[in-house]
Amino acid sequence: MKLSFQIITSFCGLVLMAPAIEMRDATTHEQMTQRLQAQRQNDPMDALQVVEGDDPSKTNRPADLLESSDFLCFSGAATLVPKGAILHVPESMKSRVAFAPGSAIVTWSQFSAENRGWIKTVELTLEQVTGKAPLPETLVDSMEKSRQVMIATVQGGPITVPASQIEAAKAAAAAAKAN
Amino acid sequence: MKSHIKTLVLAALGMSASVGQAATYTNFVRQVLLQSIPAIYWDVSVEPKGERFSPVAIDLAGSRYELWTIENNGSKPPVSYLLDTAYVSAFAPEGDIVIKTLDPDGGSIPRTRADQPFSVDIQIKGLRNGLLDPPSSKSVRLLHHTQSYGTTNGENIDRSKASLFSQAIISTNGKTTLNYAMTNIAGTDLTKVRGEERFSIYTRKDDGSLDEQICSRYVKVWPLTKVSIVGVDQDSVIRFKAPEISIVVEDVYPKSYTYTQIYQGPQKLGTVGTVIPSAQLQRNDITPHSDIWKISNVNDYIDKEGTWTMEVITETVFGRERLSYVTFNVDRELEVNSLLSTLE
Repeated sequence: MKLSFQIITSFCGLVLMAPAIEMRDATTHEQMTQRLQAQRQNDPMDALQVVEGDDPSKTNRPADLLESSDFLCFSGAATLVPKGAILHVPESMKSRVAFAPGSAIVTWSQFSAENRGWIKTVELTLEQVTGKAPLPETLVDSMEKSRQVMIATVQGGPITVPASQIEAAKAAAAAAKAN
Repeated sequence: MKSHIKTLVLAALGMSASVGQAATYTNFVRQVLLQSIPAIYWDVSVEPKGERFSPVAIDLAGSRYELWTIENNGSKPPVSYLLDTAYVSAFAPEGDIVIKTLDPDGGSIPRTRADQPFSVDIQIKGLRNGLLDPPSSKSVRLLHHTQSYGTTNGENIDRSKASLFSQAIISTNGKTTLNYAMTNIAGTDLTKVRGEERFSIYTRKDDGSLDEQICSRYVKVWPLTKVSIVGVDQDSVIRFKAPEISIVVEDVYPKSYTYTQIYQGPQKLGTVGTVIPSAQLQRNDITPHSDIWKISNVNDYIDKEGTWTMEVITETVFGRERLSYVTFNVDRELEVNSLLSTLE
């Protein structure tokens, strides 16, 4: 309540009541040094259980978005998908899996809607992606024959398919052929 | 249980806008499923102002939601910026941080000035204390980082280079308030420091896995305005035409009115003088601003001989402050001291 009152008083004064505000000289470095010393001797964090330790903001920093993604680019527009989401790229379309300088970056939903002609989404379940269920039996055959770029999605969002899942699907397909 | 990503998405609105103006920015929300090794990345489609429930059932390992923006500036390679992260798991406590300053106009990211107070409200919910509850559900870590912007205004800052100022353990639910009289950012001249102070809540895991960020907020800290009056010295004497005077202004506060006034008499704090129109500036921006004002017509304001004072004043939400002054004397009476003699 006190804070709000101060803000309103000071702020209104800036516009409407300037002559009524008491003037003071600007704070000096020496005054701030004294204030800071007092603050450090009585750090508000001291009221809690202060500890030493590593800095998780450095030790557990998320991987850079660009480094953990692949670009799709065509006709002046580009988007990105997580690495491992691109299941198949035909030889003729390899140049579209890179960022072309000058392209506008748009969201996946916009890009995929405007490039349906050459992008095929493969809708999976989280169980399939995480290995709790096998990938679709027809996936490997599609990956070998498709003339479109194939992107794995779950509920429309592009998602990483672990390489181990792809290898398992290929092994299952090979076994099925052998039989 | 479903995770709600509304908070993270709302945070995107102001943060992405503050990164810059010239380039274009595209936001991406990436969900990292930590239950798998290596982690699985899943891009969540969310409109800028939208919200949705994540369809992923929350497990012990949980998910980290990352809010990114990609800067696209013409022919330069794209650059990614991590704006915020939030961690959700079956046993992770919830946390919220609100930083309050005296300046209500900072927008989604609070701002203050280096010499001004601010407070931090930390709200923790969901901590457990049962015998069978996992230790990671019983406490959280609070981290306080400081980071100087150097001579910049913080554009494209690498927050992984922030300094860990202090950290503490919170093991009870409820609200904790930290009150600071001024900034903690270090500098050789404390009036000139600019940067940010960040407060973050992290999980406190005990199983050897890395701690995850639950919530993080920061306050921008801007320097005090510095002014030099150049062209006339303290206690100097002006005889005839007054010299051109320059007012060198560094770092006026983003929302401020800074002006030069002149009055007859010695300096006296609080005196109302005549404002010099060519040496004033009204600002309502997001960063500080520096300028040089030239006053070539000082004579127009000096109508009497005697002592005069010129001073520069700034008005901000923090109050009205005199930044600099100079007092000088005007003496235009022609005194002729001569020796008369006759030639005989």
